[in-house]
Amino acid sequence: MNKLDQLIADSEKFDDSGEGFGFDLRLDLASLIVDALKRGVSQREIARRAGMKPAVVNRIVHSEANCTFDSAGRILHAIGVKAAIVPLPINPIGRMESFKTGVATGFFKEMHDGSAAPNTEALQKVTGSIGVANTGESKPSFVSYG
Amino acid sequence: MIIVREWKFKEVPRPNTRLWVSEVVVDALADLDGSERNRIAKLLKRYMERGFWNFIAEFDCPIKSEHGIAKGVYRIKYELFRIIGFFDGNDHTPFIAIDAFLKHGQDVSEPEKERIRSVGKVKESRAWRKNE
Repeated sequence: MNKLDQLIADSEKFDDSGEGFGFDLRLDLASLIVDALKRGVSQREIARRAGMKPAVVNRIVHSEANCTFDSAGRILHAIGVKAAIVPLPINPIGRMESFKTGVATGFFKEMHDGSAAPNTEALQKVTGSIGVANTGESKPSFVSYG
Repeated sequence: MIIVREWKFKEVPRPNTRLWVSEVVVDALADLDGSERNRIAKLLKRYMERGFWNFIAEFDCPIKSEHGIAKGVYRIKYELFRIIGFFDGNDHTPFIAIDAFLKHGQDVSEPEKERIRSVGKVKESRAWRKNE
């Protein structure tokens, strides 16, 4: 196995680890902030609104900071986005319907690729499917309601 | 001639930005400790999935233009690690990563600037080739 293949294999193992799940959340939050930056809000302004130091916001933008839920909440509030953590099945998208949530596969795909905010009814069905969350066959992700 | 290989993630079969990396980049990543290396891989996967251009915004974003040092060259940052490369074409895809290094200190040193300039020269002279 060459070095690049080894890097890929290692990163796939990392994806399925607790640390990998945590890093996913960092990336989710960073993506939401970058979306706000692209709408024209500066990091300095986000920091001011959130009552945080610009350097801290910058580290979060780069997925470097392991911020608390309180800090995440303050930043999300500052960029006008409300987010929740919902379980995302880790199986390939084509198999997501097997999770018996009664929600169309497209919903999961939209959540997974961030192409659309889910409707409340669908979200309730998914978050209500405790079996999915308890089997360990899910990973958390921020879903935004910007 | 620098040979670049495509970095493909199974979970992202159709990335919005395809990433090609040189041996130097692979070696630099391989030299990092496991946790750091895997985080950077995950970061790259996310950027590829959404499209690199979605992470280029204002002054200091995850993917930043190094236009001040070398025209058309960008850097990807995680902590002190830097991946330096450029987009092949005007449509912002794919991204060709030529060099990578650990920065020493917060400011970009002159030797680091020189490496960024070298990547700019590789871009200008098209001194790279895809190993397909």
